[in-house]
Amino acid sequence: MKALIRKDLRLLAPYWWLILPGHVLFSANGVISPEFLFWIGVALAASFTVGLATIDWRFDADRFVAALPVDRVTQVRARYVGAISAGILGTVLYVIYGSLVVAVFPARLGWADGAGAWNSAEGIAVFFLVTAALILVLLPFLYWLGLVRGIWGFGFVALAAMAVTISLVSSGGGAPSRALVDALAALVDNQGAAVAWTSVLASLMVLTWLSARLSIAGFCRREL
Amino acid sequence: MDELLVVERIQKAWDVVALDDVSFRLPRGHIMGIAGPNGSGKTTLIRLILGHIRPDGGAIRVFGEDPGVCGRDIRSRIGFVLDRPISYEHLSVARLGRLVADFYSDWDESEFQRLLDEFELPRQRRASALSRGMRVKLGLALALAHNAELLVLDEPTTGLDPVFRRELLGRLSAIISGGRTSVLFSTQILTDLERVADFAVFLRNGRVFFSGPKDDLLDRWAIVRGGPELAAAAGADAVRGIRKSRMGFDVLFDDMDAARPYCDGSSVLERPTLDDVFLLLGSKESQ
Repeated sequence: MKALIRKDLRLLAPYWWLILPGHVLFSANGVISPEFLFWIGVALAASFTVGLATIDWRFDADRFVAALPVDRVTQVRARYVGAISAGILGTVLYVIYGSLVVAVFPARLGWADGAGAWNSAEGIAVFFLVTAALILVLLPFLYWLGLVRGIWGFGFVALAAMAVTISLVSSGGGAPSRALVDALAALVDNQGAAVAWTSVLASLMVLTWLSARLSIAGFCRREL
Repeated sequence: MDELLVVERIQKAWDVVALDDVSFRLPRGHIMGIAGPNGSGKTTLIRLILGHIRPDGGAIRVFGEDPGVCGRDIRSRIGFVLDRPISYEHLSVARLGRLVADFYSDWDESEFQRLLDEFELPRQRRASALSRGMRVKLGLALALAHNAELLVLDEPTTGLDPVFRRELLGRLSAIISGGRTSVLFSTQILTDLERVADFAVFLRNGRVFFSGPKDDLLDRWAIVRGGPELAAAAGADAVRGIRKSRMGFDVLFDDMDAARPYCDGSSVLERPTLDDVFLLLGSKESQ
């Protein structure tokens, strides 16, 4: 697994310099509203994470990797480790450039203080969970269907999720990111921090395990 | 004889190719060439050997194991150059070496560096900036630097100029000289096979129509070229193929002695080239 992760790092090495300035540049748009900052952040983190997760397909190297001495289960596990790590990195970058935006435009990001704030534990956790959810849904599609059909399949699911979100917003449910942060903050209030965070972490681990099992089952059946 | 690769009665429907009852064996320390036109099943066969796809029927044993089950261990002993010799072409030669080295516990860095020097590969140049020949060389250096016992090459000479093809084939001969390593390569160029292969496998439409030692074929087989009277030879046991020619018929025999009686003043007996065998054997006009 180490070799696979190092491979991805080596493949990304020529592009590392793009990541931070790219994030800062795009996140400047976040000054429009905290919601905008959140969703631009998710889009950036997701594109980084998806870019990493699909790197072998995009280089048309899946058969090359399959010819190396590494089994398919390890390949999938390494992909999840890499993608979740990328999600964590995306979240860290979100906090960094969010702080930069606040520093430059202190009046624009008054997205509450305390528990519901964009940079509260709940705000950051929701950001990471949304990014992780994208990857946990995407990877099984890729491993079952390959890059092109997998992206299409994921696209349909994403469109359906967007449609639901839009209908919730239009029916007065409020901005989705804010609603998620508020829900998590309410959970922490009601259940206590230990129970709430343990539940969130356990749910994430179970979902990751299920998604990985699904991906492994798909990839082990696939012929390259 | 120690057989590194055994392919037994393989069947596989894949893409537009359907391999049907394909069998052959590759002993240690030898070179085997798989020849066939586009779509004959060469790449499908290589994918099966590397464990990328699974056979519908039959069995493959590499180092005595099933590549579908023990793929990781098997592939650690295989060096490969795929039809697209280099992936990740945005990386430099040196970076690609480091990337691949991580996967092999017995990677020999000094051997890799020696091969780069021998092949005159510039370490800092991106793979995308290398010519097709240089990419094949790089693929070969990556495949050879971990002491592979079996080298699998998918059409390595396609698109190469004759000088480099000859150099590459010479290199393959050198690889097996120690008696430890075997080479399996696919090609559409029969002269490549004639030049270096110990064993030949001819594929057409997914079926093997010849498999065996190349020298047996070239030494023992014969072709008789003559007039229309040669049509009478068609029923002979030793006849493996017959084709109309401008003079009359070309008849392929798998036994030189059996061919001699058909050779009179109006016909000539020749040793066949692999081109002759490939064209005559299993062709539509063959018996």
